[in-house]
Amino acid sequence: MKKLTFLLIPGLVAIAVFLVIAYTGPQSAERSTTSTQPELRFDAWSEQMNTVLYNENGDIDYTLEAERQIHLFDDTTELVQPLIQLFQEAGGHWNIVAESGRILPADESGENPSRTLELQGNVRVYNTDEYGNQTQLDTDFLTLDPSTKTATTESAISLTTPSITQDSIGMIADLSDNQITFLKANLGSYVQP
Amino acid sequence: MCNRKPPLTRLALIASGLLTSALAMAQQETTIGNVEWSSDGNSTMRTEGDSRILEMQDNVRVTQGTLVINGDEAVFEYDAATNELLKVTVIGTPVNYQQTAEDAQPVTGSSETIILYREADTQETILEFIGDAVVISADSTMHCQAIVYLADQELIREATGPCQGTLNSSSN
Repeated sequence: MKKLTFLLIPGLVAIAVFLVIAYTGPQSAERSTTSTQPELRFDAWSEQMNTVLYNENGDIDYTLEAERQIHLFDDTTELVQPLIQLFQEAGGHWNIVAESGRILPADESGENPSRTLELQGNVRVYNTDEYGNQTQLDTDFLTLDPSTKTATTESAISLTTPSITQDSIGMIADLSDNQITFLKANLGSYVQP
Repeated sequence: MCNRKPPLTRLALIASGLLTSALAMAQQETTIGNVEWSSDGNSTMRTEGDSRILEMQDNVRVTQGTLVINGDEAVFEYDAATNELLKVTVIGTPVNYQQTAEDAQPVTGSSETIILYREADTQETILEFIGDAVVISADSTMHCQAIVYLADQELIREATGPCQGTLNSSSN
């Protein structure tokens, strides 16, 4: 009996040690790999870079200026403090600023070569018309398709002109011909200039 | 000498009256300028030539001081250069109008279309009721094909027939 106990106890201890290593070993190794070698998420990084993007006809689609641009492995570009100038065929342009944003990866179908932008945090879209009057749109989140020059949001949005203010929910704006459609719950006022 | 006092007194009263009227008109002009609106559905803003157009749909309510218009759709037309509101057209089935001046009975009305604008030379606020037009005041009820109504004076300036009207029993 003593012999059996003598053999059994070290055997049980050996099995216990094996199980502990088997269950905790790889996780610990993984943890140590993660902590010592952080995975790189980006392959390009720039500060205060100005980018000019052209359409298929060689015309300027839009210009992009940002405090920081980070291109990620998944082909997304993260933007810090972006300023976008979206040009119109008639000659004018819209300015769009935000706290942050990202340029989404290209459409896999290839139907839309221009990449969609998502902007968030104090997004402001504004332009000045031929008479010097400014039109301004403020929202928290905006999706911009440079190929169609369409800006959309489902968030609350405010319109301001020198004499008009209007608060609405949701918007589809065709910035190529200055047509802005607010989707619902409009509340506005006119103050005589 | 004693006979001169009454005409002078009358003159002072007339001058005082004119001054009061002028002040009242000036007050009306400052309040008339501002307009508020609300709507439940789509609202589209675009530029057409020298005009900026703001359209809206579904349960539209336009307010200008004590004047309230309710309808299904509205079109606001602004001068694109000066940003001044030139005209508001409200369409509905029908469009309803109500105005309650201070210390006065409310004036109500309805029609298929109501156009609100300010006449440039007279500075009058004009309401054009077009199609099955009805204007009801404390004194009368007027039903015509179209009515041009002076909102500030609460007067019908023009009525396009066929018309029918009644004088209310409370009128003097």
